[in-house]
Amino acid sequence: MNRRWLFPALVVLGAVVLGACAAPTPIVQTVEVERVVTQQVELLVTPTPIGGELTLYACLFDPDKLAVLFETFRQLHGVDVTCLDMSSGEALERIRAESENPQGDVLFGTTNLSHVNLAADGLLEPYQGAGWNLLPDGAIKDPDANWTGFYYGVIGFACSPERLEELGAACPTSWDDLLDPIYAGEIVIASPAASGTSYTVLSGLVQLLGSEDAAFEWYHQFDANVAQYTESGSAPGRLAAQGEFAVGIAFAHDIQVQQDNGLPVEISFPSEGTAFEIGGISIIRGARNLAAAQAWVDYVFTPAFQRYHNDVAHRIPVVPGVDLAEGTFGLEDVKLIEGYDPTEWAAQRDALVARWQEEIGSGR
Amino acid sequence: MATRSLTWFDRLDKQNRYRMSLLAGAAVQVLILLVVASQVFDLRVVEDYRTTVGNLETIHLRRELIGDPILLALVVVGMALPFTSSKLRREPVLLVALQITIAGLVFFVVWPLGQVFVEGFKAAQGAAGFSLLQFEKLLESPMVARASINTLLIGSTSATLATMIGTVVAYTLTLSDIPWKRLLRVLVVLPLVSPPFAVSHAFIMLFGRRGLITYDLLRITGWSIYGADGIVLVQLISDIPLVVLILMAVFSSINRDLEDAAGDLGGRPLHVLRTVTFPLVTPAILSAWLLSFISSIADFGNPMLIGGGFQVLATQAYIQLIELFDLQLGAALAMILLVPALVAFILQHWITSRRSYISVTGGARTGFIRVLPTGLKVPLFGMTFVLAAFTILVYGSIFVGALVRVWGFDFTPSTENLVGLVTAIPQLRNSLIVSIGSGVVGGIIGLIMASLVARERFPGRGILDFSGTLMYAIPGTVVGIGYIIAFNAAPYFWTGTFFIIIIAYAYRRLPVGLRTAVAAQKQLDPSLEEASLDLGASRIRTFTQITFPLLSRAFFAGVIYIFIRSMTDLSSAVFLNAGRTQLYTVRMFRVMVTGNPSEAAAFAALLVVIILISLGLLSRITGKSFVDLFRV
Repeated sequence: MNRRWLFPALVVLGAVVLGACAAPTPIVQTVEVERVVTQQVELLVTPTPIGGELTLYACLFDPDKLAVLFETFRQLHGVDVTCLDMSSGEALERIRAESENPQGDVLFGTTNLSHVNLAADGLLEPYQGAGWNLLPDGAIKDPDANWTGFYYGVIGFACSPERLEELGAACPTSWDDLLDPIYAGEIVIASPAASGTSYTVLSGLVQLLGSEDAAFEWYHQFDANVAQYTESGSAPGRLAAQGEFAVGIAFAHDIQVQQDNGLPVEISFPSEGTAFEIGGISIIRGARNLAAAQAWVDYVFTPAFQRYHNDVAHRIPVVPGVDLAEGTFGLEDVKLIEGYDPTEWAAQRDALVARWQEEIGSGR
Repeated sequence: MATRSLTWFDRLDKQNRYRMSLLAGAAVQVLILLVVASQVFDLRVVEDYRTTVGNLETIHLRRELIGDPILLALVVVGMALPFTSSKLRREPVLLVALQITIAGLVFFVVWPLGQVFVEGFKAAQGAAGFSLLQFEKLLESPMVARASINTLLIGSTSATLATMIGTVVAYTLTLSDIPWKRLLRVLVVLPLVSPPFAVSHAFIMLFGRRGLITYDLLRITGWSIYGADGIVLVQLISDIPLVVLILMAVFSSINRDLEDAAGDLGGRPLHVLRTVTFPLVTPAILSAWLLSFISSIADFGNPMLIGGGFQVLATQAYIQLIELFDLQLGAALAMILLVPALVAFILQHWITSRRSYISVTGGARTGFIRVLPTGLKVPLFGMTFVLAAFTILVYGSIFVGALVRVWGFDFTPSTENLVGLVTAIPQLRNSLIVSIGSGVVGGIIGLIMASLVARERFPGRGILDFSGTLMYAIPGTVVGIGYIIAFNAAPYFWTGTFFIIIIAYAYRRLPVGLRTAVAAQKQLDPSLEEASLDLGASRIRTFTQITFPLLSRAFFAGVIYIFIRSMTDLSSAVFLNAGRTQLYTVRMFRVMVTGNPSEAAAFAALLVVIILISLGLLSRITGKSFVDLFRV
């Protein structure tokens, strides 16, 4: 054998043997850890020193604007809070990837769809905190306490007064109005295949019109007026606010952020009833600072937090008796689609979106 | 002259020296392998199951060895390859340098890209075995077929238009006698400095349905910039400079004697142009077409901003992975995107590596100016002027936009959007850390690879050179997805860390660093190094005391080039950054999607200023003019 091949051959052989040995065969070793499960129910947030750090995933709003809340929490419990800004998909993917070694403590915000998915994978730590105990049974909380809803978001129509004047049209006030050919090429909405916001609209319509077929019949007519299906759920609000298009369909709180930006945009709600989302909070299983995570979940349901959140992010509080900030909409200001349960619809997403892609999306 | 005292090593006799270096060599081998193995494998304690008795909960844990034996095997094979050359076996330093380079390429280029293919053929997350399920899904989904066709259509349209316009403009800027040539050159090339999607934003501000020009000035209604036309238009702004740069170099090196000879032999001007001039530049034109095709199909930011729902593969892959968290489908899409890019790149490589028609001989009369008839000069000048005017408009709107309250609605001057940038300081800091880090790491890797590729002869040199430049062809989306798949699971958990973003950028921009360093190496007289070696200096000493000082300018130039490319990247960043490592371009992109136009313009303006400053620095280091800076 040629000598110059001898060494590499040996190395390769060694590598193969090493590779074979190192194939991931689990070494099972049972270590017993005792832990007392407490079933303590706290109804009020009492300032108890906890200390340490707390990492929130999927920061639901601009972390800068939440700084005041973090500071208050630090004074209450001595915990330093970091809020990491990421999309709901990103948060989900990270929590799944890190399941053996969680880097985040709390999934803070994003619609309950993410929480439902994570709970199904067993990646959440159930907690029956102040908020969970306070809220009535139903769509707003998980019966197993994996997650708790802490805000509502309602779908609204963003209207550009300038564009509408040119069209000689008024701001639409019903789902039926949207089918009027006067709006042809002037409506923007996100693609349900890319955005949870738009899925909320689609599932709401199925509920409202009574059947999938009826909803898709409506959508086919609506499609003729749609200028573009955006990737981002909040982009339609921005596009209407900037006067690029006459009508954008988005969450009312995202449209109000555009008003805060100084853009002239009006909001209206469909008279037949509108779809809504529930934004949830949950503790990630294996959270490094469980005590702080539980304290944060309780803190989120205090009236002060709910009011401030409504003030900066315009989302609707779940805690009864919280005064709304000026110019924001509450659940009582809009008509909700009767019997619409966002949690229930979360489970049917794949099938509904696939049909939408086939019938509507592929025509684009 | 300073003398060095003899070290213990110098005092050994020849036999022992040989043994010692053999031992050291073996030790280095073992060390490298241990480092790789310690990264590739991990023993961790994982929760097995929980039992609850009364109010006592028992958590059962087990230890598990997890890792990538295949990766380790690949690295080992890669490291063993250099041993097949007897020349390399006699040169331990060279051997180890080559081994580290190969190990790095295997670990950070071959492995992540290979993972894209592996994942694309999986049925689901963690599923074993080979499956065509993802491709069946893709075939069934009309959106994907459409996105593939759209991608190729946009790519070839942009590339063709950019090549046509770019060739004419390059000709005008080098060989014609139009006025203001110097200024026009700078303006035409300038769009290369901005992140491409900033051009989209500027176009929406200017030519959108509520744009300054289309709405406020011309009062056009019913016009829409969104869609395929808009994507092609903004891609032209960044692709034309690419073509212009390549062709300006070619036009200015055409040997006048060839054309003169053809003319003297009785050829009419048009005949000469067709039979002499054109064949001389054809390879460069083809090459420019392929490069702008690659850059166009890899584009993510522009289709996202100005596409208005027009789907291309890069945006589809992003939606599947980041919005809908379907890793396997995202990987399958990335694979489809990779194929045309690779084909184009290999074609381009083949064209440029064939014998060049342009003979740069001493004394040749090149780059002479033709006096053109007015009938030809006016349209040529007009075309170049329009292109330059677009540059002024784009940058003008970004800077003016940043300085008014709300572009389009409230044009009162205001600093509030600039002040608002304070909130982006963490992202800016992250981007600087990542970009400087990848610049330095990429610069070092480029330098080591260049000194191997340009100086030494060893088997497999061509492959090494090719794999170093290959990353140029890989769309950022594919790099991002590959790194997520390869390094986001046990035992790594690297996504979202600065480390992995730096490494990803360093390898992604390696072609830039490599080409800069190779060019500098080739200008270096090898006799300097040979003299040092002949006088008994070791290879390491020769490199640190002779080669590196002579190459340091090229090194820093490479660092700045990689820095600029990393600062403006979006397509890999959206996959790799997370939470604490959120990057400036990603934040900027989000502001463009949801914020007000002036806020977004302020973000873009700051980035452009940072890049102009780094270019100024680069110009001082290299002593090159602004336009020449882009010729890498």
